Parts: sequence; structure tokens; C-alpha cells
Amino acid sequence: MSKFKKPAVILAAVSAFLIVLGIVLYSVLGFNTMPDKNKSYTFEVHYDVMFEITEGAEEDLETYIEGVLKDNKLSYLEREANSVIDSSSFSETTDKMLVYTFAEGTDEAALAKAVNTANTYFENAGDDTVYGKSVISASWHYQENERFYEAAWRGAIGIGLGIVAALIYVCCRYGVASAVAGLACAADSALLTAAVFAVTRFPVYGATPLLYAAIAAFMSVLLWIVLGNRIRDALKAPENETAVKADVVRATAKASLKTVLLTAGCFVATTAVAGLIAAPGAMLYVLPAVIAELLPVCAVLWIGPEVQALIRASIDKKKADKKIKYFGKKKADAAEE
Amino acid sequence: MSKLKSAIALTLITILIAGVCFMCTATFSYGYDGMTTFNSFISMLEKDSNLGGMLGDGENYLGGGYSSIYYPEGVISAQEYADNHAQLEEMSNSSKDTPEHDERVEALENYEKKYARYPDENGAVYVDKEIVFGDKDGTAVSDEFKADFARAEKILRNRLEGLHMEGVAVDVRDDYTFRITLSAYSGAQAVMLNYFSYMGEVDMGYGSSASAATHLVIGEDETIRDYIAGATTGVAQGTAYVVLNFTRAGASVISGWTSAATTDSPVTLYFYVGDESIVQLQVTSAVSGGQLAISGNYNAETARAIALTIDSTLKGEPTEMTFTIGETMRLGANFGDAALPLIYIAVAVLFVGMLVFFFIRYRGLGIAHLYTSLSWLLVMILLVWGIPFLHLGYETVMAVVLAGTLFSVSEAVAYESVKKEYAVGKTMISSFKAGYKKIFWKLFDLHIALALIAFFTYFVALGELSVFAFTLGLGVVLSALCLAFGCFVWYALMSFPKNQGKFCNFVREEVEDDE
Repeated sequence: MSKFKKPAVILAAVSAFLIVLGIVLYSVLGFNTMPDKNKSYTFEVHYDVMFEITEGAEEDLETYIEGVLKDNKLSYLEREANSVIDSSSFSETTDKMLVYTFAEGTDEAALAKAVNTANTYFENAGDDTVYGKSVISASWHYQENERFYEAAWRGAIGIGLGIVAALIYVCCRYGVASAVAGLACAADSALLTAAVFAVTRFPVYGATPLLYAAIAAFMSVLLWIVLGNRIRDALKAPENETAVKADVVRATAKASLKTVLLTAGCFVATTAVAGLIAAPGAMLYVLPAVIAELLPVCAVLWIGPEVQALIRASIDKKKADKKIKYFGKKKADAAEE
Repeated sequence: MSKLKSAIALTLITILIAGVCFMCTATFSYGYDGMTTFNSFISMLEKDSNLGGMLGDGENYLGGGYSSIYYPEGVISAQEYADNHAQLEEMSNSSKDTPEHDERVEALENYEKKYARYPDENGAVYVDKEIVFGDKDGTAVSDEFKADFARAEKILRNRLEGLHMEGVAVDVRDDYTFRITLSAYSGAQAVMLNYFSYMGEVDMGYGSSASAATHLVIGEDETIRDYIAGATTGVAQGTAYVVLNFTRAGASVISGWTSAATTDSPVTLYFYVGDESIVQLQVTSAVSGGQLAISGNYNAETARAIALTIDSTLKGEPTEMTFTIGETMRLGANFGDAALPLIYIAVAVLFVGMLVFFFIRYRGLGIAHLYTSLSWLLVMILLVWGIPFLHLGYETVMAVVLAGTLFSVSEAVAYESVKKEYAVGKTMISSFKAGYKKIFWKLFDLHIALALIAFFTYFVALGELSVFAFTLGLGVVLSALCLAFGCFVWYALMSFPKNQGKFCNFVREEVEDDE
């Protein structure tokens, strides 16, 4: 009666294994923040207003550059045309910068060759062409970025504090057993979510794993209260007055499968729709949140009720022991009198 | 509630919602020749570096970011080298038959000898051999330069990290330059990019001008840290100020410098980072105490830039490296120009989908949900627009989607509770009361717990997570308020239909007749 049921044990063991593995992998490799392009190469073409005022010149330039990159077997991740700003007055100039971004590991010699080819072409294009009439040059660069860490550790503490604050309220309203079980669910969900991203090496933006952990904690508390309300109603029900409380908790959790899944399903559906409609870069931001919304379901349905059942059983046992001692003493006293 | 009262209440609510809805979404030009533009609240929402967007009139940019290259002394771009070289070459060629020719040829040769392309013949920068290699004939970057660059990197990272903003980054580019990125919504980007390039030791002085000021005399075993402890910022009554915290020795120096200050003969205090004067302060009376709050023409961002520049320099290891600001660019949205319209479409699809569900399942009662959900969404837009540290980004959208779903699910749960009561044969009003009574504390507990988790996370977290948590907290609180508002709208709506059960798509349970 006071032992963890098998599914909960398996789930808790899998969770614990993934969390430990996630912590180890995070310490060694960190998250896969490939979308942040922390290490990247750029091929940049700086050109002036002549290209903007000459019909079709900007398009021709892009076509030419892309041809040069293709000839050098270079494939870029993204292309942007940015306005150049005067660094002292900060006003916009008429110059522009065409920036092609390449992944880490791109052939530097090929980039340099492409730059030389482009610059030679610009120089020799002839004075009557737009290249001859304007100031234009190409260059390549390598850049490395290191994330800021203060936001990461403060975010983790913030989520932990949020969970504790919410569950203090749960403790006041639903009792210690429910709060401890809710804490177990929320901590498991938040850690497991971050661990899943570390273990699977799923590409994420650097700031998002904590955001997903926060979503998991939020979902976990939400689903736990949905289930907690049903458990509280069941425990108070007259037909369960004489029943073993731990069994009532387990039975209610089992009967609430549909409710919990339906509630989680609403959140998953809305996030998935938002993610699928979003722009390609944003999909990678929004869609992994679905994982954060789904993972707490397991903890809430199987781990939480078991923890609560265990604590309830222990509380009931203590209460029963107290009752036995109390009545025993009173009866003995009465007999003596 | 009588029909008349209900009609008046609903009409007023409709007008209010329609008006706010119009102000939130419509951007248009008016006045003589369309010279004046009314910008909708949505168009005026500040967008983060991932989402781009123009203000309604298309003139002011509200998304994306800015990037700037910092070149340390002794490092120049290949383009700058090529331009200087071409200029010297042209001067040398054009002076062939003049007495200056030899001098110009020598200048060109010296220039070529002075610089080396780094790291190899394909490198993107040129380095001054004497400064970077430590030797005119050197070929490798000196340890001293490397250490100086590393110290500068640490200081720069502290400055940028201290902004606690999304879209802020320090990249090391081409090994020995920095690329600084700031989001457009951070404000005061020009000031930040300028001040953040200041390196060197913090210094202070007083006098008639920054260049002629009498500087602090620091003892042999002392540093400026023995006089200035740090710098922070504050905002009071809309005025932003920089706070300099002095040690006891520092406070004593400032007190001594300002002891003779009067309105007729003020004393000007100067604070420097490296050779650059960053704060000037005219004092008309003696300054005492360990703090100096300086308010000038600062806004919160400029004050923060100044405080961060001073504070990070004090807390970091000083470096003598000086920087020149190179190419500065205005960056577009990280997720492309289509990201913002697609986000609006996604929110609209979710909103319409949710309404369709309510209208199918609860028929006329869907109107009540239309009112409450519109109110929820519009107030959220106004809050994100009005609260200074909130902006439109994916974290905000995620929070809105989560809180919006919570609100819709909560309202559906409340409707279902009433539906159950109605099914057992109660009147609509008593079903409404009993249903809401049964569900009230459950929804209340849920909202309180979720608001607690969101706001506690917000108080500790930084950047995107704090924006997400705060928006989520707002959405949850607003959800609770709109649920209460929903009761009123439902109550008002119930005055009109003859068959209230049919209007709400509620049915009675069929009772089996034993006879």
C-alpha cells in the first residue's frame, strides 16, 4: 500500500536518468544553440546609393554574388540587406550592406577566393557600369559569440522560486500532501524539459530552454491543480469516508486521465497552431514549447498521485497510531478509577 | 436585470469594446492632405530584435536592432587599409615630377611596412605590427595585446549583459575586433554604442573645462577603486539619474573640491573613463555624503549606459586599449519581415477558432465569450503597449497564447458547470448561480497559483524569461477578472432569449419514467 506503483517507479526512474544525463551533457556540451549562429562566417558587400538608384542594379548584384558563392561551393544560411548608419551621428546613410551568413566550418579559403573574385570583378567592371560609378567592396569575416550566463542562473532560480511560491499556496488550500506531490511534479517537469533538450541536442535558441522549463512548470502546476481539485472532491465525498485515502487518490488520478489530457491538449493545440503559422525561424522558437506542455502530463498523472498517496498513507498511519495510544491510555486510566 | 437595463449595458459595452478595438488596430492618415497619422496601439508596440516592424506611417523603425564594429587601436579593416593605400599610391603617382615625390613614395612604403594582413593574406583586417605584434618585424600577436583584448572583452561583456535585454550580444570578430549588437527597442543605441567603446581607468577631477580639470591625485598603493565604489541608476518622478557611490576617501575628496562652491562661483566636477569625459556636473554648494545623484538630460537608457560604463570599468581589470567605432548597421528582424504579419495571423486564427468552438458548443452564449475574450485581448494589447519594459516578441506571444488558452478553458469549464446544473432541471438563473458557486474556488485557486508562479519568476529572472513571466502573470490576472466580467455579460444576455436553454445550447437530462 505504501509503496510506489510500478508505472510511477518506471517513470520516476526514466525521469531521473534523463535529468542526470541532461545535466552531464549540458555541463559538457551545453544546449545545441545552432540557430543562434554562435560561430559563423559572413560574406559582406558594402555598396553605395548608385545601386539603389540604378534600376535592377541591386538584383543584378545579388545574382552575381550568389553566382560567385555557388562557383566556390559556398551555401549560405541567410541573406540580409542592411542599411549602413553613420556611427557618429547615428543617422541613416545611403549605403547598404549585403550580408550572407555561413555556418561554422565553412571553407575559409573558398570565402577568401570568393571575396577576391568579387573585388576583382568590381574593379574591372568598367567606368560606364554601375560598379565603376560607385564605391563597392566585398569582405569576409569570422565571428564568435559567447552567451551571457547571468540570465541563465537567475532564470533557473526564478522558476524554482515561482514553483515554491505557487505550491505554498497549494499547501494552504489543498494540504501538505498535495503541495509536496505538486512540487515533485513541477520540479520533475521543469528539469526533464531542459534535460530533453540537452540530451536530444534538439536545436534551440540560447535563451529558450529556460523559457520551456518555465512553461513546463506552469503547465505542471496548472494540471496538478486540475487533478488536485478532483482528488480533494473525491476525498471529501461521503462514499469515500471509510475508504483508504491513498487508494482514493490513485483511483481519482486514474479516472482523471481524460480531463488532464483534454486540458493539456487545449494548450498543445493552441501552441502548435501558433507555431505552425509562424515564420520559419519562429517555428523553432514556438514548436518546442509543445514538448514543454506535454511532458508534465506524465508527471501529473503518475508520479504526483503516487507521491500524494504515499504521504497520505503515512499521515493516515500516524493518525491511526495516535488514536490507538490515546484510547488505550484513557481506558486504562478509567479501569484504575 | 430588466430587458432595458440589459440592452443599455450591452450597448455601452459594445461601443466601448468597438472603440478600443478600433484604436488598437486601425492606422490611418487624416487632417489637411493626410498630414497627420493616427497610429494604432498594435503598430506602436515595440518589437524585439526577432520581429521587425514599422510604425504606422512607415517612417519610424520599431524592430530589429543595430550592430557596430569596435576596432582596437592598431587594427583596421581591409577596406580602410585599401582606401588609405590607394590614396597614398595616387599621391605618390601624381607627384612623379615634383620635389615631394620621394617623400610620398617613402610614406607609401612606410605604410606598407607598418601594417600586416591578419591572420594571413586573406584576412579581413590589417594590424599595426608595432602595436599588435609588439615589434616592427613581429609576425605573431603579442601576449600583452592578447591580454589587453581579453580584459576589454570582459568589460564589454559586463556592460552589455548589464543591460538585461533581449537581442544584445558581443561577438569577437576576426579575432581582434568586436561586433556589438543592440536591439532597436533598447533606445539610446547611439549613446550606448559610443560610451561602451570607452576603455581605460575611471578618473575624476574638477575645474573650468574637461581638458583643463585638476585630476584626482591617487597615492602609489591606491587605485580609483579606493575613491569610487560603483555606479547605479535610479528614476524618480520621471527623471532618470546616475548615482555614483564613493568610499569614505572619495566622499572626503568630493567634499573638499566642492567646499567653496556657491551659486556665483560653481565648481564643475568631471568624471572620465579613459580620456573621455563621461559625466560633467556643476555644483553650487558643498557636496557631502557618500553618494552623488546626477540628473542631466538623461533618460533611463542613457543613465544606464553611463552607470554601466563606469561600473564595469571599476569592477573589471583596467585596460589601456582604445577603440574606434567602425561600420554600423541597422539590422532587420532576425526572423525576417514576414515574422510579424504571420504572428498576427496566428493569433487571429486562434481567436477565431476559439470563438467558433464556443458558438458551436454554446450557441448564443458564444456572444458572452466574444465580449470577454475581446476585452481580455484588447486589455493585454494596451498593457503590453503601456508598460515600459514590455515589448512584442515571441516570449510575449507565447505568454499571450498560454494565458489566452487558460482564460478560454476556464470559461468553458464554468459554462460546463452551469450546463450540468441546468441539465438536472434547475432554472437558468439558479443553474448559473449554483454552477459558478461550485467552480469559483477551483478557478480562483488555479489563477492564484499560476499568477504566483509567473510573478515570482519575473522578480528574479532577466531578459526574455522575465518578459514572458510578467506577461503571463498579467494574462492570468486578467483572465480571472474577465471571468468575473463574463458572469455579468451572461447575466445581461439572459434577459433577451425566450428559451434560455436553447439559446445556450443547454439540454435537460431525460428522466426515465418508471410508470
